Amino acid sequence: MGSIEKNNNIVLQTVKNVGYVTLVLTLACILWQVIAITSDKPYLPKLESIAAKLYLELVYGRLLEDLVATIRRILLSILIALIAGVSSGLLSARISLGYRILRPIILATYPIPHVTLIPILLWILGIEYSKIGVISLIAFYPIAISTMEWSLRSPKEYEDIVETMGGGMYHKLRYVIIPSIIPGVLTGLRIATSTAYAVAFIAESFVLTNGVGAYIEESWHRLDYAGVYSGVVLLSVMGIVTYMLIWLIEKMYRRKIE
Amino acid sequence: MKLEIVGLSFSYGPNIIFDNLNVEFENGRLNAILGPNGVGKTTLLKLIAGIIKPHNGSILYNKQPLPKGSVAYVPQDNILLPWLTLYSNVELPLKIAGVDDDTRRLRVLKALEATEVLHLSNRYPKHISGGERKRVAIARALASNAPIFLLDEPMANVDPSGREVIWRILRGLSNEKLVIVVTHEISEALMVGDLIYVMAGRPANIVEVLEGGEEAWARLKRIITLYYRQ
Repeated sequence: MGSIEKNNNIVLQTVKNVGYVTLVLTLACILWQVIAITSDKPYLPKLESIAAKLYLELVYGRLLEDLVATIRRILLSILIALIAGVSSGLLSARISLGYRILRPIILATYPIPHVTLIPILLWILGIEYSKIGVISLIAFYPIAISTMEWSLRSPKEYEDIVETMGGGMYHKLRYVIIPSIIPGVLTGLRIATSTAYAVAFIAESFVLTNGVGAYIEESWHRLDYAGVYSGVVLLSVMGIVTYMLIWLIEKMYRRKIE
Repeated sequence: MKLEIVGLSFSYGPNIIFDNLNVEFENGRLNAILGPNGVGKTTLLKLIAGIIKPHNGSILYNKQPLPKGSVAYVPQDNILLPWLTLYSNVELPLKIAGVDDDTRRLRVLKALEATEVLHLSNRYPKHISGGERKRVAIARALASNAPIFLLDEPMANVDPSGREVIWRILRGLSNEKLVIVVTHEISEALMVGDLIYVMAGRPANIVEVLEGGEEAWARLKRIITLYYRQ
């Protein structure tokens, strides 16, 4: 009964959150439309122009290909950040050498504005991999720090129990360490993916090849205002959907155990 | 079957907990270790369970060092893994031991039934009471088939009816397993223990071993006056 109630609560909260986001977006659209109509400026196009442009570019233009390129880049970068972040977070929290050396390095280099490294990464990694490199680097920190924090706060008793059952390091990792850091990893992942879209835009517009970032930048140079907004809308929607999806998974997992 | 602790020494930094501790526990009787908070009861359980290593001395079961997986340990807090259902929690020692699926299922169901928590098996630990959690932890120990059961304050935060169930289960268990229960509550030691080992002092030692029952109460009163107020 209790778990049914809790599941209903999650559904209710999700519906509420989606409702809030929809309401805010609707209000923003109305406000936008009013400003666009009253100001009559070319750089503030009406919603229908943006929607039409978005549709045409997605169906007949290059925007779908750009979107796929951006998503592929983000997914690959997040995967790299996830593997590196979780490993570093665990090493920093659980091995004394990692705690003394790796942890201070991660915490000290976190505030560096990593986007500024794009030109350097371009020399080292080349055109395509520099984009993946910078997105991975920025996504790495929230995942690593969150993993570290959750790993440090996991009670030692759980591992003791597995040890008394005759379990070794593999069993501790599988049954205690990994499940105990999942909420932290998801929190880090949620923050990382939101940032990843912004960084993808910067990286793609810095090195113009393909991707939504490159599409926005090129539209901007052509003074194609509706094109710029189409790209912005697309990245925003992707960002919101990803954020909500990870938030939901995180919420469901935490409801189960907390 | 006998668990022997021979010349055991252990300290946390400069704080000496045990210095040449010698004590024996036997099968077939419910052993309760009674002592004030912080005396070293939990440390002794952790030493027996192999979670911490003694600086000196040995722990022998039937004159042999304890084999891996021979101890089922139920700590005071955080006794169940919160991300596993109660069924999976009970199943865990069997999975670690590599027991096949069918045998595993049978043993888990039997243990859950014996501890009267079968109806809760699909729930998660956070969604049941403290007493039910303790019973599931005992079910896990039962399923594991370990010959030695160590329970740290099993009645703590459990309501009277829950205590009664746990007491009944432990009593049944003590016929075939070597059960050691640790408590700081005199009433609990009297309720549970056939043999009450009173632990006191610094370094800690077993200062008295009493047969449980009504006579123990009078003797315990004297011992408590002597050691608990130190």
